[in-house]
Amino acid sequence: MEQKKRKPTRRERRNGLIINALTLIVLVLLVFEGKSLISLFSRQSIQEQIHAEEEEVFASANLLPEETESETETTEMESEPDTASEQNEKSTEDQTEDRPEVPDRSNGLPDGGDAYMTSVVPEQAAAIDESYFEDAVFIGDSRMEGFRNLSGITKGSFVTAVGMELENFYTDAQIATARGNVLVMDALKNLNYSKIYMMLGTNELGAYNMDDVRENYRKVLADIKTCSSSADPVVYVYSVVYVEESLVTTGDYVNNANVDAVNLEILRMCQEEGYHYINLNEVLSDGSHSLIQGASQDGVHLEPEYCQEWLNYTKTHYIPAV
Amino acid sequence: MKKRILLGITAVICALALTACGSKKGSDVSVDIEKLAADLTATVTSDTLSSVSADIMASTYFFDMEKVEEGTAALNSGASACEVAVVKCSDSAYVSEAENLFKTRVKNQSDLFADYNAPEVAKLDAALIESAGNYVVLCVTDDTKAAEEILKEAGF
Repeated sequence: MEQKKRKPTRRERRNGLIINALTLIVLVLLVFEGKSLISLFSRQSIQEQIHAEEEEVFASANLLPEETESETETTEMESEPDTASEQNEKSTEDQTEDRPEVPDRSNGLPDGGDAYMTSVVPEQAAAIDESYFEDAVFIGDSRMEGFRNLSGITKGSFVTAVGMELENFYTDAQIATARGNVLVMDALKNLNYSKIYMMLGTNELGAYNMDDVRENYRKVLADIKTCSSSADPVVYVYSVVYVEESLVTTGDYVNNANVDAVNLEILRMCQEEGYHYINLNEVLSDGSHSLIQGASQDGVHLEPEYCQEWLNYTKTHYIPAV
Repeated sequence: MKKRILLGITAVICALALTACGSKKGSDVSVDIEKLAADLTATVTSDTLSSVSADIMASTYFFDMEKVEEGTAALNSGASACEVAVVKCSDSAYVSEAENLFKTRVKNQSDLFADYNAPEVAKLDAALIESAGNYVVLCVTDDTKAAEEILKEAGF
């Protein structure tokens, strides 16, 4: 005969309820902590994925530029075949043999640059203080951005962007704002300036016919002047600073023969337009048309002490107010 | 009586556990921002970073400097996307705004570097933006794991 099922007592029901409640609480805690553990593990796996992708990108980056470089070399460097490089090698050899202990850094102008000396800003007896830059805007590429970041300059407005070049000057939104990147000309509209310090040309070393560089630079500067708060702003154009070729990995066209070629066009434009050429290579050249060894980690962008030297040079090379 | 004690203990355990789950990490953290920035800067090997003035910091990140109690930033030579910034907000309400400004900075830089120097975009994708209490940190570096460890040690 089947035993009749005993009805639980009131006390047993209460205990059962408490046990159920405790089980529920334990489950809730497990869910919370479990979520934390899951997020911890997934975060680690995301990081691993990122690192794997990073390695892939670096690996492909090491291969692609070589192909691109060799193509660029054949298409763009043919115009000035081996003459320039031969001359460079020859002059380097000569200078290596005869090089004094202290390198000659007195000039830094490209060959033929002497013809434009009236546009080259001379050294002044007294250095300006930084209040001179209060109404100045510094416009340029990653090298100018490095100058902003590392020179210690405290005054002036900066409109700089990595990758800025004459070709993308009007088309690419590249100046950072709190609402995203904007065009250079739009950024300039919000500034008051009566002095312009300009540095472009490094990103043009392989991409242009040099006549185009000069004409595009001329147009860009004319447009920048129209945004000035002065009817007749002072325009300073920095030379393209030499590179340390053995360290450059971005392409063979980033070489000092091309730096000289671009600088010659900039000098010519400065003379024609009444702009003032600041010959930074006077202090940043090793005396043989190359960047001082050790001035840059990647051969292009300057280390802090050389950015400070750039600032000091700017303070002693200016056009005194009439 | 036993039941009441049991319920009481359970409630306390729950409260403690849930408080631990929900608390913002490092809310009582105190940071030497210069040391933290220097330690994070040491994880950058591909570039030379240098400390910048408060003006340059403000114009780089678009901070309202009146809402920043103290801050420091080490920026790059233009060769890389690496950078380090540490700020202490004067008000906890500004922390999320500071985080958003750092996110915007990373986005702006990614857009630029995508055309100019693509390998740097990977560093920007792995950028660390962390907060603890009123402190907010941005770190774009060559060694993200090392930077994470430094931040963890510092209470982030």
